[in-house]
Amino acid sequence: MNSIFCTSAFAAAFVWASASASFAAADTSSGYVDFGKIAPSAEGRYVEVDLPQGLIKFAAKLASKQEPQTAEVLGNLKHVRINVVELCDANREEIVGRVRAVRKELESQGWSQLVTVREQPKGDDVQVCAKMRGEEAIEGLVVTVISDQKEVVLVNIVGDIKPEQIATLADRFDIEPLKNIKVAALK
Amino acid sequence: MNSPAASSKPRHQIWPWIVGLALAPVIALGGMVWSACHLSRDATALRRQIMAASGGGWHTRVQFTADRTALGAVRGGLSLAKDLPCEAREALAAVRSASIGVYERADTKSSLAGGAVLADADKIMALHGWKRLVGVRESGKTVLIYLPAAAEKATPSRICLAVCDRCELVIVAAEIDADALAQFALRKIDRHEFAGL
Repeated sequence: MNSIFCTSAFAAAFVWASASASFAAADTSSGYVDFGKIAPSAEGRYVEVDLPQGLIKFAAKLASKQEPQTAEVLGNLKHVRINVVELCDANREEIVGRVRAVRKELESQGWSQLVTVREQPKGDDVQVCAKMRGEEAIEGLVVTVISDQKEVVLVNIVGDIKPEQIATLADRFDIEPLKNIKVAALK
Repeated sequence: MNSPAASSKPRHQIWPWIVGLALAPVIALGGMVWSACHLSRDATALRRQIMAASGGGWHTRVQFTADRTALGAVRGGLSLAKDLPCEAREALAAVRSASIGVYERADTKSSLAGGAVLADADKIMALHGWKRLVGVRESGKTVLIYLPAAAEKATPSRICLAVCDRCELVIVAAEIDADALAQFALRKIDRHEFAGL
């Protein structure tokens, strides 16, 4: 009983006080990417976070006193969506196919590939893409990871992001592939 | 002597009014008690959907709704208590209303019906004007958090969430004063920093 209350409290605290981002149901920003509805498998890990701009601003307000740098980054965000899906035989083909389709679409829309890692034949398959606005700002970031054919991670961050703020974003959202991006590579 | 015209005048029945006025507070009180013992409309919809998806067999352990009036009364009562920590007052001031239900079932072998519970819950909550913000399923536990779909760019003021595993289910719907909550959080940070010096 205690554990379920703790989880409830944690979930509520997460929504009301933690990080950032936005719903963006009809987000028309060019940095927004529609991953579509990703259904969970019958069993297995599934995480979906789709936060609204109002909540980002609220989080930025909370962070402003203790972490002004984080608050500034959050204040410029419009939408963050994170999906983590454990793969099984029933959904592997569909979801991996979806990830590949998203990558292809980004490529055709002129997104810049910042990181591409492919460990063959098994291992991680990682791609980080950015939608640049001029040379100084990023309108959208998309991280796609197919981890050893066992798990898929999709992240879309929309906003007005300065290249040097990526490290802050990576830390706040714990997005490993973003942590190693060199700012110089974006300029 | 009364004229025939005067005697045919309709008499105003006063008793129905007296009875009505006497019963009104009882009915109102009954309504308040009934409402206090049930979940809000949105929380009920979410609870029903999850219970249906999980195969039933749930029993109510705790279920109540504290609306603005009830919470106002609690706040008023607590204002008389001198020893109450001011943090508790501030936290209570940030909550406008809350509806909470805790349910359990003995059949721990039953499980939630895979991904169907999320899709079904999303569908019913969308009909009530909610959009899912967080959906997590891990180690047999499922967490669903909804915010009003119409308030994407505004500071959220209402929240509805469900946390469940094989044998326990918690549903919470609350209306929160986000500004008061932010002020409370900021003051807490200040106190924490001050205490750390």
